Amino acid sequence: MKKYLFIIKTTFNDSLQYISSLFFKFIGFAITMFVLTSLWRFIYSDGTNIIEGYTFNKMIWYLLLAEAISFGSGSIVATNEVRDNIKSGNIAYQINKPYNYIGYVISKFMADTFIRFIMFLLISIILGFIFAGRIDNFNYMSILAGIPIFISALLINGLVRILISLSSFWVEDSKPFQNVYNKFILMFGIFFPLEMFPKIVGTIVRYSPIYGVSYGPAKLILDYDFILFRNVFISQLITILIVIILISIIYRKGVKKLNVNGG
Amino acid sequence: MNIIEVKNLSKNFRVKEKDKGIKGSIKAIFKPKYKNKKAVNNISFNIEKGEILAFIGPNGAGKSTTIKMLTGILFPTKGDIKIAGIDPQKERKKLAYKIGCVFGQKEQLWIHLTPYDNFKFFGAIYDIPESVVEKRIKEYNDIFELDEFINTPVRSLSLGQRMICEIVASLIHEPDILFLDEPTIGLDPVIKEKIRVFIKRLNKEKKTTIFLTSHDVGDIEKLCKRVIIINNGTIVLDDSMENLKYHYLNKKIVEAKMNTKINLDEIEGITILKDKDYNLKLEVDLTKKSISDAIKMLDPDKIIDINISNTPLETIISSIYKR
Repeated sequence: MKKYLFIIKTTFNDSLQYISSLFFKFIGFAITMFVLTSLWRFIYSDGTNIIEGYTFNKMIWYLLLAEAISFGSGSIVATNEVRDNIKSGNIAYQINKPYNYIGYVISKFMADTFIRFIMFLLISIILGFIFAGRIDNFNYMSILAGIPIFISALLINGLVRILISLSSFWVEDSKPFQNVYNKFILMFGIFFPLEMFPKIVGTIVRYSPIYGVSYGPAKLILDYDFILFRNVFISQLITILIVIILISIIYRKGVKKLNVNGG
Repeated sequence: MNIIEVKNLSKNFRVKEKDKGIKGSIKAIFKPKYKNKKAVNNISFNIEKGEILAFIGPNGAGKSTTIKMLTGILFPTKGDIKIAGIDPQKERKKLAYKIGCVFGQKEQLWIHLTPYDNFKFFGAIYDIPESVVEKRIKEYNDIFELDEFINTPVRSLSLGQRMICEIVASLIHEPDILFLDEPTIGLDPVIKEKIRVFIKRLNKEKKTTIFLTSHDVGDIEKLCKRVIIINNGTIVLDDSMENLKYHYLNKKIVEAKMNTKINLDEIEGITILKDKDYNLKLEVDLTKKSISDAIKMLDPDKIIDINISNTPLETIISSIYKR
């Protein structure tokens, strides 16, 4: 465990070296949020006060919180780095070290994500106050309950991305699969809350990782209640367990057929 | 005592093949074709503790595949490996503490961090107490003069400085065996020499076993006492460097500077390699002719200067590759 903490510490140190590059991502994030907020403002401008239980204020905050998770966990550690390591053969240097490679990647991802997420969350809160004002009927308990839920959301997003990246053991490029996953998150987790989809789609999303990554955490902050907290958290733990099992199986199989370039 | 034992080791790869052009590319999407390639074919050898071994061969011979099987990265198709009594594939983590690896064409350092931070990181993952890591960094600092660049981010280092850091990072846990896969590739002669001197010292003082693959004959000649040559996945030679240099080809090179132009006729056992103005270069096959035969042929009274040397190792190795 000690060595994984050192990996986290080293990643913090590493991430701080290029933190200024995040600044440009903030600009992109703010522009995206401005466009989406304007779209929702237009939709609500016909006098509609509530859409599927969401006021304009809650819709904007939902969007911002879900996007903060998505942008915050967009670390390349789980995507490009794993994929490139497998494809270039650099993985050779990592799998013969006295740690578990997957544990190494997760530690690195979480450390990198922690810094990114805090930054994007702060930007989201600022934008939220600018675009929508204070969250309606905000319950301060949601902050406390949100801590494990947001950590789990970031972890699930990373784990799913690692799982997709591990397909590089078999396919030429895992990037298209990452893009499809990102689009699913965007469409079914960020742009529209679960309630807005037809029942069948909503049910599928509820049993997919998207529920624990986007909808669950954002909804909990907006409408805190203990049952929701319990449901989201249990769903997240089950997702984490399933994805970790899948990762271990895929990784073991992949490593056995590893063909390191140049030998 | 054998520290590396390899018995009947083979590795096959499935390589994707496609026909020429766009038509071939489209066909490959719907009906991919694969070819089985024997990268390593039934090789066996042992290495004693403290040996420096050159494991060489032309590109694609199976060197790197072998090294990666020995270090637990690749799984063999067949055969047994024991490294310090450990099965590399079954006990990879345990093996990691016993070995160090430097792959000249791959990177293990964190490029945004300084060498110092990198060494601390590698020390921590090998469970080495901080005080010991500090002591070792100081030790390597004295050898490689790391002070100059120890606090510069790795991304800003020269190739030579980076390679030195790669080596130090691989040795921070003082492994019993060091695997070096082309460690001097692309480096200037000064850095190469520095690395060679260090490897020799490491082997002498700490009895570290060195397993080296390199295309640089200088590395092999200056460091190794034993050489294994692999080609097309099979071992074609396993001998001492002495035997390889002096007995394997039984040839000597005679270079002479004459005071007058002489006309030579090639005879069996003596080949004229160069005849330009007053300079001659002959290759003498010692199984057929002696050095004195060559000198007599030149006429000793007309020789101003003469140099007799072994056939360059590079030539010997190339001729073995071509067989």
